[in-house]
Amino acid sequence: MGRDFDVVVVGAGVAGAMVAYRLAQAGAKVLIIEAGTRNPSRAQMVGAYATAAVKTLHSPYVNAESDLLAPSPDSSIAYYDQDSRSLTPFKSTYERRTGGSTWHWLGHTPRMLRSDFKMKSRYGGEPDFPAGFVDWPITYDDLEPWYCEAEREMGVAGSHEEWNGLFDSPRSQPFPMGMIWPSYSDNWIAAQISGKSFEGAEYRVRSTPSARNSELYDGRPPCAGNSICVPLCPIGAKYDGSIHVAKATAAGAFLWERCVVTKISKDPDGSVHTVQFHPYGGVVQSVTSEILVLAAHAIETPKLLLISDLANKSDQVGRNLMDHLSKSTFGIAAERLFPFRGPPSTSGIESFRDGEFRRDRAGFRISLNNDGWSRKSAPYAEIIDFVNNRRLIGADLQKALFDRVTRQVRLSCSVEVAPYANNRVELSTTKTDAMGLPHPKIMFTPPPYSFKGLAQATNTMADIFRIIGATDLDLGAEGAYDGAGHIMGTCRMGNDPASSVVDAQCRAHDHCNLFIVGSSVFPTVGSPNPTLTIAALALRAARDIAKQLGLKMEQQNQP
Amino acid sequence: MLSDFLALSRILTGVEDLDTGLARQYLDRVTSTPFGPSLHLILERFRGLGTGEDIANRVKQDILDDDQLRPTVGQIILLWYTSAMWDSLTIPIALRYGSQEEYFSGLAWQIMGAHVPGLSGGYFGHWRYRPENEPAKGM
Repeated sequence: MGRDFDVVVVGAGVAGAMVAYRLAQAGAKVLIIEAGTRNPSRAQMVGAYATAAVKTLHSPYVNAESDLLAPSPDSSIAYYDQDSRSLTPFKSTYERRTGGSTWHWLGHTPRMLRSDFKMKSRYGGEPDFPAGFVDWPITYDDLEPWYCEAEREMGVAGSHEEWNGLFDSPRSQPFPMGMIWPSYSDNWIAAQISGKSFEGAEYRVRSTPSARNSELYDGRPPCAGNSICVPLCPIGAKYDGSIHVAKATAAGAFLWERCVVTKISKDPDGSVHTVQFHPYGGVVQSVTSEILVLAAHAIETPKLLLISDLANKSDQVGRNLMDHLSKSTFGIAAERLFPFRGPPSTSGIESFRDGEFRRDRAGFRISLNNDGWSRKSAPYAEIIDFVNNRRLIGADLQKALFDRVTRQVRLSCSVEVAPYANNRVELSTTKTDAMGLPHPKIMFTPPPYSFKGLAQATNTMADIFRIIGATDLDLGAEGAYDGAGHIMGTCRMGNDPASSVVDAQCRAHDHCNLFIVGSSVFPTVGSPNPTLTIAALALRAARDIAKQLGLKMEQQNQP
Repeated sequence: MLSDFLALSRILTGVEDLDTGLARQYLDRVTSTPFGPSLHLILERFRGLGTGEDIANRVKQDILDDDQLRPTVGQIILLWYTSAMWDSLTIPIALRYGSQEEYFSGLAWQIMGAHVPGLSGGYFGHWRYRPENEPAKGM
């Protein structure tokens, strides 16, 4: 029976766009369906950000139509159906729009480590080791060539020398671009702490790999350090998913925006070919394909599967929702470090990501940041404080402001969250959106394993502040955390159909022509930012989809 | 009123070269908020201070030290420095911004040796070095 398309991809974020691009290149007839809209010009978005009363992740992207018809936690603070009394709420958010949440990501692209793929076999056995930890069905070595490919596609700047072999995780190819230069502040802090250690792990500051141009690459300019990567790069030096959406459509893929997928229908033989969607202002329609790819991030994807009663014989759809626990700490350095220049973060410390300690507490990354105390309302708070409390104006005010703000330092951490089956996405029974679709109901409590890691990360940041002689420390409340924006889990990958949703190729165990790409398939998450791993897995899945379609994929740097 | 506002703003910000067009916009913004009435009082008192080398000290004593007027003084400075105003006299909750031109004209960033977020005007890697627009050493 003839289908409308070879492949329908639901979601035009980085994962869906890469799959669509590769398959369209290989000759497949591809459709991308996107619930959100495309953006206006960058200049318009920068203007919207500049004039926004409250500057949030969503400020440049406000769109009355899509915010109503394809709501998200970025556009609506009430989107998650979550117990308002929870002491451990899920705090991360996302955008539903063409290009996805990479519009407002920071752009950091560290890889997962060899051990991150083997948590259970490498560190399991201790009583405090979370039962939810599993091994991935693939290894670091399996994914390594695809990491290289993803770095090339996205345009990643980094230092091969600094990152090759990190925790037994070698790189087979150099980065496509030289590193994003560390900031003045990074280099000063590195000079103070290098060679010192904390509880057996040596501090070493590395330039963080970033999908941000350090030179002209792929037709996009080098970073000019405009400092608002989150929520928007004003010049397109930072990669976002819209770049591969454009490449996919240039390769022949169709893109239908402003169409909310409402249900996927299952055929009697268990395959899935029919996607129902609701265009803004239209009526529900359907489209068919040989292969269906769900790429709607880690909350909309399980939401759609649960609505459609698909891929869930294992009862794992929606479970093991994860994030990274993030925490910012603040201090005043002894010297002027000149923050508020360059990308918000250019360097970090990887020393605490792996080790035997992971038998009973989580690993973590530390980021050095270039944004002063902006997350504590600098310099607005300082200006008002100097005027109101120190009665400063004119040159005296300038001097005080310069002296104080130029010494502001923010350190932050990103702590691994262990998988836990009861941390999950379900369908709300009380809240529906304007299309009549249920909101996601979220249950989330980070396990003690991760809180132990958070406490250790806080102690580590306190030690760094001690070494650099910082004063006026604010280490936050014990156990307090922020969302990292790294929404992961909910459709875990595994070899056993009884305990996982997709196989090692990202194919649903229950439906031979349904693929799920994106961070939802991560069975464990380590502590790195997830987007590079998302891209690597998506490129790898595209190869397997092409095989299933009988297409010969053009060789690039593929294994 | 505009010339008084400009003259007062120079003293409050410590910046001589203030843009007249921006001054007009900021004056309108302040007078259209609950800070407006106290701005009128401030300017009336400022006019009474005359001129002279110690004008900054007299502004401090006669205006800044007045508990009723100080919040509005802070708002005027915050406007010039960042283009933002707090939305409330007593319980600041949110910052309110004006036009794009105002946002990108914020003075605080340059005073701090930085740039307004979103517009560095710099080249790749400039953040590696001390700022080129670093105020005079010893400041």
